[in-house]
Amino acid sequence: MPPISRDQAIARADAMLESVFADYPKHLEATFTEMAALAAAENWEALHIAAHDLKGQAGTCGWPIVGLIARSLDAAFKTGDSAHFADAAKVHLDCMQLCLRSSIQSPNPATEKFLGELDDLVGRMTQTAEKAKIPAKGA
Amino acid sequence: MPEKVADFSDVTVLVVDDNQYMRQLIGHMLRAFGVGTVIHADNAKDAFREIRLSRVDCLIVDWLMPGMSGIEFVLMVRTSPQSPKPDIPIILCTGHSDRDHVEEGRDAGVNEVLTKPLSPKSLFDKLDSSINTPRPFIITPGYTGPCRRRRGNVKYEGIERRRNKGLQQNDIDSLLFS
Repeated sequence: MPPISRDQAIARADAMLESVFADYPKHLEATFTEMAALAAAENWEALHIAAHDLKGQAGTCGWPIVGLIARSLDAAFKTGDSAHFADAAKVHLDCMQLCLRSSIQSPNPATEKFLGELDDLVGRMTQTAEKAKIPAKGA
Repeated sequence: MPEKVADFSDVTVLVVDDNQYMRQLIGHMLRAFGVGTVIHADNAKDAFREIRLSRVDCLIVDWLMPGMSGIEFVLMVRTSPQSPKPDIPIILCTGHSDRDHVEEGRDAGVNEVLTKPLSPKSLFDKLDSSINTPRPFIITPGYTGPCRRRRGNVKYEGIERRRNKGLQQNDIDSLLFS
């Protein structure tokens, strides 16, 4: 391949990714199924890693709203409040699936409410962990 | 001024990420940039073996991987006596954009920190910078890696010191090379 300009290289990558991203909803569907199975098995460590991966990946692939919800789930696990991991996993996965089914790819006024509620949930988990002196964990 | 051109046709990039989808995605972008050879590893151990066996010109490494993390891998490449190429350019990918993580990456000896979500633009610029305008390589008792001073005579504007998380890519670059 001959040398190309920066703009040409970026345009070509954008075009290539467009076709890859067309199939991303199918990939998300499979990912959510796997994450639900991890939650059912209470495999929190694996689910935390899956949430962390999805946090960066979904935004890259044109679904920033899923990235934001995954970021919130990642933060929920980092609180260390394991008594509420199951609740947090369920509500976050429900929100992600809702966005996928409704083809909501980016934050909008309608998603503000549930993003705020997820923030509140993580805030309550942080407080619970602090009261119980559970150390927060990194990822 | 003529537009700058990049020629990566003779470059081999090793992408190290446990997430297959991200490996493929980065591979697509690199091939679109004209990178000659893209190889993959899903863990640090295999990546280290690959560096020893193959000619690799640049590493793109995910921070969070099971087993050895991206940071531990960077330190091994930079400082292990078994490392065949301690000065290889390394781009660290991470979902963490807070100051502590960026500093940790810098002090491990990465050339660039690339925050997710990735874009072709950000990846191209980091790759171009790492390969075509490398900084002097420093070996001291406490640090092995590219010089942490900013290239050239660029006026440092500084980052918002009180902000502790959610750094933008420009802030990260300032932190890396200030």
